[in-house]
Formats: sequence, structure tokens, C-alpha cells
Amino acid sequence: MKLNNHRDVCAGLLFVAIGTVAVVVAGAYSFGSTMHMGPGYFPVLLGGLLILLGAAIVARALWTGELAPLPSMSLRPLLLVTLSVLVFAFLLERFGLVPAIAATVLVSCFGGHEFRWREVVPLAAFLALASVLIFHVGLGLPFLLWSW
Amino acid sequence: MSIFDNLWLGFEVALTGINLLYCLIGVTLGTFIGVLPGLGPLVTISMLLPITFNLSPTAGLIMLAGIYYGASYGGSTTAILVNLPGESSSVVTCLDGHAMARQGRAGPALAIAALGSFFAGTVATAILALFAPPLAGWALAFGSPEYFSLMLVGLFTAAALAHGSMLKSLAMVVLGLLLGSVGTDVNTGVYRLTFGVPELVDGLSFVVIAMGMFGIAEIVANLEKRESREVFTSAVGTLMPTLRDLRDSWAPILRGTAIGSFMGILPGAGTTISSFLSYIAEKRIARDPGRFGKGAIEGVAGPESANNAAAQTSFIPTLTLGIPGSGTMALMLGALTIYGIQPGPRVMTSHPDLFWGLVVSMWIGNFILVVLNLPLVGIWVQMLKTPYRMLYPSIVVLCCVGAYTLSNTTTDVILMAVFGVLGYLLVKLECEPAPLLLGFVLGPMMEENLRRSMLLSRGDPSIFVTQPISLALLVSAAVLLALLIVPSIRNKRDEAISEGES
Repeated sequence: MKLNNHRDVCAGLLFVAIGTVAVVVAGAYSFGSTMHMGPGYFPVLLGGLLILLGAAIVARALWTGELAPLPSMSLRPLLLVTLSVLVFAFLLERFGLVPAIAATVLVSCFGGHEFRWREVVPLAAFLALASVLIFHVGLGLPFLLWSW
Repeated sequence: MSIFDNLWLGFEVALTGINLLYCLIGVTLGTFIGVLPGLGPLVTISMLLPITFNLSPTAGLIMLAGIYYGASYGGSTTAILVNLPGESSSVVTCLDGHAMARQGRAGPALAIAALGSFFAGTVATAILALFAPPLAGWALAFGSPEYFSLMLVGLFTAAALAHGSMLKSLAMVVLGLLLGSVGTDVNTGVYRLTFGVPELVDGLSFVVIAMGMFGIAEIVANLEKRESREVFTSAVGTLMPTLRDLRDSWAPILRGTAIGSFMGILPGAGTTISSFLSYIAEKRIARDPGRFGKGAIEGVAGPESANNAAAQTSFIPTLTLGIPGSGTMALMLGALTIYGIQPGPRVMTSHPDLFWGLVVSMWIGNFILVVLNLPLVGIWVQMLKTPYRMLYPSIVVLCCVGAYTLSNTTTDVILMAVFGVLGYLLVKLECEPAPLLLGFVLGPMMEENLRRSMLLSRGDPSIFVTQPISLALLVSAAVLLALLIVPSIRNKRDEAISEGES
């Protein structure tokens, strides 16, 4: 079996961090007793469990030794694809569905390996048209189509 | 009512013109989207889910069942033609299915996959009709402690059968449970873990999580790799399997059906493990195991049948107990609650038309796949030719629109982006996201049953071991856990799971 321990250390720490946030935030809600559980009981319990599991993952990784390097990550697709989703959220209610789709296609295409205007523009137009037809005309969903 | 009365009711519901039409639309749409590389059934269903919201619960669920089947079969098509498994259960189909495609025998591989699935689906439907009512009757006697223990068993099984380290899978389950507790506390009305976001008061939507963690995260992961797909467009050739193919396939189909039907019933076990088990079984039984991985039709027939049988019988725990067996089932369960139906032993008696209509629709969806989609395979192949650089922006747009239409708020779109990043990070850290979704769906039910049990027992946790059914369930969970820790069995499991990758 391969040893991916560095990875495991990071994964464990991530779980510990999330668990800590949960314990701290949910700790503010009333905890109650085991018989009458308050709203804080279950989340705090889970947060604690997550911290324990995270710690166990870290401990096991350190125990087995041999720290393998972290996986390679390319930031460009991550950033641009995420940004394209956020752009959609930002534009939709301010400028409407059509500009939002156009911008999303444009931004997400920058995240790929090849960017060709000749492909991106027709794709954006096609997706905008198809979405308007399917979701607005076909399913009758109330979308703001465009406003500027 | 006898089984036949039940099935008859189901046919009456499913065969009304309008429901049949929805089933047909569902199957076609599901295949259409599901065949696109990199889109597994999970993402396909969550993307298409908003479309069904305007329908009545019965029609909506029937369409969803169609989508489910279409998406699963679309996934197998992609696995065979492009060597890209849409979800973990079609990983093994890639091995021999794609090898067959390389030899120009993609047609028979696709046909056997469809026929095997249809046969398995038919048998599993009968099993479902036979066993769901008694199980539901039995489950009616379940109190909160039993439900809590049962969910614990389901989550343990899911974590145990997931890929990779069990500790990490358990952590993913707990993370899912935690995400499930976001929103208003039902007992006190306190807003929990909402971080001041008003839209989180109603809790997170499982569709948003699924699209983010499986759709968006998957795109990012795919963009990292350079495009290197080979599609066998010209080589699909004749669809007709040869007589020899049929002779080689019937026994694996029977065995796959048996394995799948059994595994599907276990809560938390699901489809993936049954396709792996079937593949291993076929390889062991075969006179010449060396052929496996090089285009043995048994390696397609067995796992595809097992996979489909399990998909059908896993509706038994999902519908009667409310315990899903896989991420996809968790999604179907979530859909039920969106329609205002609380899954559990009472669904069958309170909504018999819906229950049996759904069961029969699954079978009809399967049938439509065989008669409609096999002739259309040329169209699906054309779709596979679409380069990924055109495809992924379309998926992003569909996910965005889908997330927004859930409740007409851009907050859901932003949350989807957040889960996309989280999902990508977790995949990079080799944490499998499917157990998380299971935990998320079960979380609220689990908390509710835990609270009620503790109230019943006056805060004494020993209630879980003093109630006989609950004790039996917990013991089985403990045995399972112990078995997984025993090294020799652990190695077997690793071998079983990694066999699909090598």
C-alpha cells in the first residue's frame, strides 16, 4: 500500500479545524442534558467526534512515518471555475439570466487549457438561448432575463 | 393485498398516458445528460431534479425514477465507450467493457449491459414487491432506539465499504451529520450553525451539496488533467451479441442478479460493492481468468446486472426504512422529502399509489431503456464526441441555474461554489465524498431519534443495548467493524476494491 501520510496529516487537521468551529459555535447554544437535549447537544457531540477522528487520522499518519508530499494542485481551474459560479450569483439578480450565463461561460472557459473566442461566443449564446427556452419559456420559472 | 394486487395498482398508476410520458422524458433526459463524460448519476439527478418540482409527487417521482435509470445506463455507456466511469459502481464495467470497445465490440457490450440490467431489474422488482411489505410491517414496530441503531449500522456500512481509509470515511460521515444539523432546531426553534446567513435557516440543500461536491469539484479535477479521451465512434458496429456472447453471459447475469439483489437490501451497502463482488466472482469461476480485463463479456454482464439489481432492491431500505444505501439513494430520499413525503414504513400504506407506481415505473423505465436507447446509441456516441472544453462550461451553467431554481436565491449558488472548493480539497486529500452525503441526509433523522430515545429512557444511553432489536442491530454493526479490523479480511476488502483500479 502506498503511504500518503502528508495528505492524511492535512486531512486530519482539516477535520480538527471544522470540528473546532462546530464546537465553538454550537457551544453557544443551550446544551441541555442527555435526557432533554438542547439545540447545542448534537452539534457539539459531532464536533467533538470530528476532532477525535481528525486527531486519530493525524496520529496514524505520523505513527506510520514516511511523509509523502502533498498532491499537486493546479490553482487556475479551481479559481476560475469557482469564480465563474460566483459571477453567476452576482450578476443574475442584478443584470439578468442572459448576461449571467454569458459571463459564467466566459470565465469558466478561461479555466481550461484552450480558449478560443470562435468557440466560446457561440457556446455562450447557445447556452443562454437554451436556458431561456427551457427554464423560462418551457418550465415557466420566473427569471429576470436581462436589464441594463 | 397480495403482491399481484400491489403490482397491478402500480401498473395502473404507471401506465396512465401522462405518467408514461414523464417516465419516457425522464429516461431520455437522464441518458442524455448521464452519457456526458464526467457526469455521474448523482450529478445528473441533482441537475435535473428542479425540473420535476412542478409536477405532482407521483408524476415527479416517476420522472425521477426514469432519470435515475437513464443516468445509470448513460454512465455505463460512457464507461464502455470512453473508459470514464460516471460513478464508482461502473468502475468495473470499464475494465472489460472498454476492452471490448477497443476490439470493435462496443455494440455487444452495450447490448449485454442493457439486457442484463433489464433481467436483473425484473427479478429485483419482484423481490421488492415480495419483501418490502413484510419489512415495512416489521419496521412499524421500530421505535426511536431501533431507528437510531439502524441508521448507525447504515452509516458504519457506508463508511466501511467506501474507498480508502476507514477513519477518513467515518470523519466524512460525521462531517455530513454536522452539515445536516445546520438550520432551525426543530424542537426549540434556535438557528444553528447558520453563521448569520438568513437563507441557512431552512438548512442546507442536499442538491447544492451534491452539485458542488460532485459536479463542480469534478470539473476542476478533470481540468487538471489534459484531455486524453478516446471515443470509439466508428467501431460501435453491430449491436447484436453473437450466440456465443449470449451463452457466455447468461450465467454471469444470473449470478450478478443474485449478488446484487442481496447486497442492495443491506442498508448502506449499495451498488458499488455488488458490482465489485460480481466481477470478482466471475473472475474466480471463469475457466480462464486471464481473459478478464481483456474484453471478457462476463466482466460486463455480471457487474452490470449486479449493479442494477442492487439499485432496484436498495429501494427496499430506502423506501420502507428511510435508510438510503448509496449517495444516489440519499438523493432520491431527499427528493421524497421535498415532495413532502416522509420516507418510512408508513409510505406504503399512506401513499400506496405512489409507492407501487414508483416501483413499477422503475421497471418500465428499464424496459424503455432497452427498446428505445439501444437503437439510439448512435446519438449518444455523437454526444460523447463533444470536446470537454465545450462541455464543462455547459455543466457549470446547468448547475448554476439548477441551484438557483431550488428556492430562487443566489445564496444557494454561492454555497454550491463553497462546496465545490471543499469537495475538491477533500478529493485531493483522498476523502471520499459519498459517505458525507449519506450522513447529511440521515443527520436530522438521527438527531430526532436520538433525542426521543433519550427522553424515553430518561437520559440513560443503555436503552440502545437493552432493546432486543436495537441490540441486534448494534451487534451486527460491531461485528462488521471488527471484521474490517481483522487484517486478513481487511486485505481481502482492499483487494476487492482495488481490483477495479488496476
